[in-house]
Amino acid sequence: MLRRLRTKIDEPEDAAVTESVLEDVSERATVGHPPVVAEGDVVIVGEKYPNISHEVVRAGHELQNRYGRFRLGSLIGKPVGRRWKSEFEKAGKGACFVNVLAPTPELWTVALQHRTQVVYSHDIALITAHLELNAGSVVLEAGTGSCSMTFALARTVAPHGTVLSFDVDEERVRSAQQEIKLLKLDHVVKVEHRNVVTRGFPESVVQHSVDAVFLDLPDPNNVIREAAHRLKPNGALACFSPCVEQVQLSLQEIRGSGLFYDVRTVTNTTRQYLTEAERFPVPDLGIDNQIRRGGTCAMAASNATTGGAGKTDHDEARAYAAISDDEHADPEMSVPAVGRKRPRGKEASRAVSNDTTDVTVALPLEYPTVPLNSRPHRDMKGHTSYLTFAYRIPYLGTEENTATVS
Amino acid sequence: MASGADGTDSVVRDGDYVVFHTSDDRWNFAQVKRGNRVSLNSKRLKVDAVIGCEWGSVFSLGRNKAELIREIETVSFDTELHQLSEELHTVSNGAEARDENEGAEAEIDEELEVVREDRHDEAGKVSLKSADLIELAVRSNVNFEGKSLHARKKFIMRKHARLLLRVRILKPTGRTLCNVYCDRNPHGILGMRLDTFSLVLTLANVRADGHYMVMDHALGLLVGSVAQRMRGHGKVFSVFQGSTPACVEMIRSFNLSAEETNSIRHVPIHFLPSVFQDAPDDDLPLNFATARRDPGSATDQEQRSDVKRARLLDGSHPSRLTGRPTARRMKYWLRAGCESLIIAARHDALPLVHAMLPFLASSGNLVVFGNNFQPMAELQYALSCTRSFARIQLHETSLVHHQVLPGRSHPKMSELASGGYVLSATKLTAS
Ligand SMILES: C[S@@+](CC[C@H](N)C(=O)[O-])C[C@H]1O[C@@H](n2cnc3c(N)ncnc32)[C@H](O)[C@@H]1O
Repeated sequence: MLRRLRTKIDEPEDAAVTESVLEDVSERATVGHPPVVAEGDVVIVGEKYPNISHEVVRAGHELQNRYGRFRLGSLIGKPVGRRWKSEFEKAGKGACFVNVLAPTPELWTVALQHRTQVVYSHDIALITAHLELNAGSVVLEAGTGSCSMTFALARTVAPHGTVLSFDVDEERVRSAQQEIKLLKLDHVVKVEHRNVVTRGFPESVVQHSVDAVFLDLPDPNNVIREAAHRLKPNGALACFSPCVEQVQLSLQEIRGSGLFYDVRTVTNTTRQYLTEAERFPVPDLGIDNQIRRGGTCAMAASNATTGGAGKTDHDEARAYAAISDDEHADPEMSVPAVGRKRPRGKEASRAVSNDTTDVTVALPLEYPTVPLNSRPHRDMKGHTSYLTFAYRIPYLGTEENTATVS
Repeated sequence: MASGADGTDSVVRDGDYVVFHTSDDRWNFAQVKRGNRVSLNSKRLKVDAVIGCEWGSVFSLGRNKAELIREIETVSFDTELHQLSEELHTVSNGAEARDENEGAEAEIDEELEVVREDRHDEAGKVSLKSADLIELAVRSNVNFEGKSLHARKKFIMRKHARLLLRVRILKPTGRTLCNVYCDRNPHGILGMRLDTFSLVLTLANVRADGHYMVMDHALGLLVGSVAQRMRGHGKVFSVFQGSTPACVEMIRSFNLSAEETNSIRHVPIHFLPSVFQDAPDDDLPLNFATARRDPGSATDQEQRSDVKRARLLDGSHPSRLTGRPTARRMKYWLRAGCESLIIAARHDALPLVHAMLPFLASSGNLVVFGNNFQPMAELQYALSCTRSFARIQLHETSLVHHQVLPGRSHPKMSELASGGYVLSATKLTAS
């Protein structure tokens, strides 16, 4: 769904800012006026982080999960980017919420149905930058797999560009075509059933007409010369291969063809951090004179970083005191704090990534006044591979016109 | 201005900005105008020769190493160089190291000079073939008897790099300019490595017809890249502090087309709080002078340079007074909300996020780049406390280059140890 999040409003020329246009402005141009959901749209449903899925909105259909029952029809006509309340209240828990969001390629990548290994957003980002894609680029892709890369490519080249994607697996092609239609990308993306190793790219893709080629299949080395014939001068090639032996074969082809420059292979790993207002446990050593948090040093530092966000030294001191008191009262001091919530008054329900708490009231953005702890997220999807990039030399030669496409 | 990067032009035109990439992986860029020079490998090279050449063309350094000489490339020069170094590897591996012989290096040096002189044909081009170098390498085995294998290899490679240095001309894009800055002035772009830079653009969901609000302290790398990616469809609101738009020069170095340039709109940050109220002077062009200063107190000169700059920015619309939209129109655009807010600031981002947040559309993304971990973690936590965001993520990526060769694959040393951190979050609206 490449529809913009804002309401599309015709823009007045300065000279034409008439009374009626101004009325129009004040009436419609409200901030954050997001698109409203219509029957058949895809929405992303965010549960407790990092769980996420996608749904096709159909009146009469229901979504059931551990947060309750949700009527999809109730989304129709409403904007995305908000909390969605379940139909019934869980005893003692109140109503539960999930988040309903617009389907961006980044959310899609984590919410899609895995048919194959997929390319994740941090790699997609680097590939998109290396391929130098923009609105209007023409890209060839093989194979389509689960459409993770395809959606991201389409987003960047739409509305004037094209993505031609091929996969040898008929079932995957069918699923991909359905998804592309659901995501309303069929004007940008064509998915075709084709073995690009044995048959190359279709004749309809004329020589030196594409801006970029992306290969994520087991043997990209067998498609590299094909790619070189289709690429425009300075067009970019990217190969995604998990095994270094495979990269070696691809590089042999890339270099051996003599048709590419700036050849490089990289890996791009990712890590995500969680930040919580819970502190690493301070042990009670049971001795006099034990060092404690909230001493003058910690307070000075804390005042400096919060930059006078309206808190007095006194408030600050109380906050620290409250925490350390509690720390003493905690009998499970030896239990690692990881996963343990330490609610503190107003900040109680504010732990990061708690997307489904029963909270609908937005609070103002403020500097935190509690000590924070960050650590890497342990089960983050970060599958990566070797990424090999190369660019087509501008010389197109003459022998290429006769080059065979088997 | 000249525009050579709108996707259709295949040759460099007078006045274009050009990225220069050397075969030893150094980067720089320059505007090509008769008489201009570019610094590469501590030489100041005249750039005249690249005008009229195809993008992607390769050049060698002339005899006096002060000018660029076009080389015809029918087989990728990179392939030739690679084969050469592989052959050298084999040759130099064949010999055993014995005792030291100090005189050898000077001798070889002399020989190389002779070879180089010989190979200059009438046109002044260096046409050293790989066979000659192999021959030299073999000879060096003899003359080098004393040197250790490692020293010998190093020496030969150094000679090659010098003799065979090639320069390729590339279009200025987010990727090539990011490489230029990472190579020459990483501090200027806040140490934003290519992996983090691209992650920012991707997480911001940059695409045609989008509206993006950007606070760019990275010399305009982000503003220019967003505009280039959208190709003139959509808008980039470049928010700046003070009274003059930031990073105009860098944005120009993208060779943006008129439409692309026009998609960039400069907005003083002091204007943001007034967006939701109509004011009597809304039909005047957007005022860049800071609100705190009495407009009357601005010196004539300041005002003049302000006007000049604004014209420069918006040369495509000479008819509009100073090239700025009216305040009314700017309010109209901003009230509609943006798909994403992009912030890459030299200082703590939280106050900026606070000032820009009202302009983020529901389900749109906030993307913040930062070099220091603690402020980013603090912002992450602060965002979660607002209860107005889903999927608040603090990312770190690490980019490693690899040498991949049979039996000799290994990661290479990286130049920038950290590429910074990227925070992203999706806006929720109470409903
Ligand atoms: C790892 S998946 C691609 C995942 C995809 N990039 C994504 O992000 O969702 C590899 C795909 O290549 C396809 N494939 C393998 N050999 C192929 C060939 N010769 N021609 C076309 N597709 C092929 C497989 O069917 C598989 O779906």
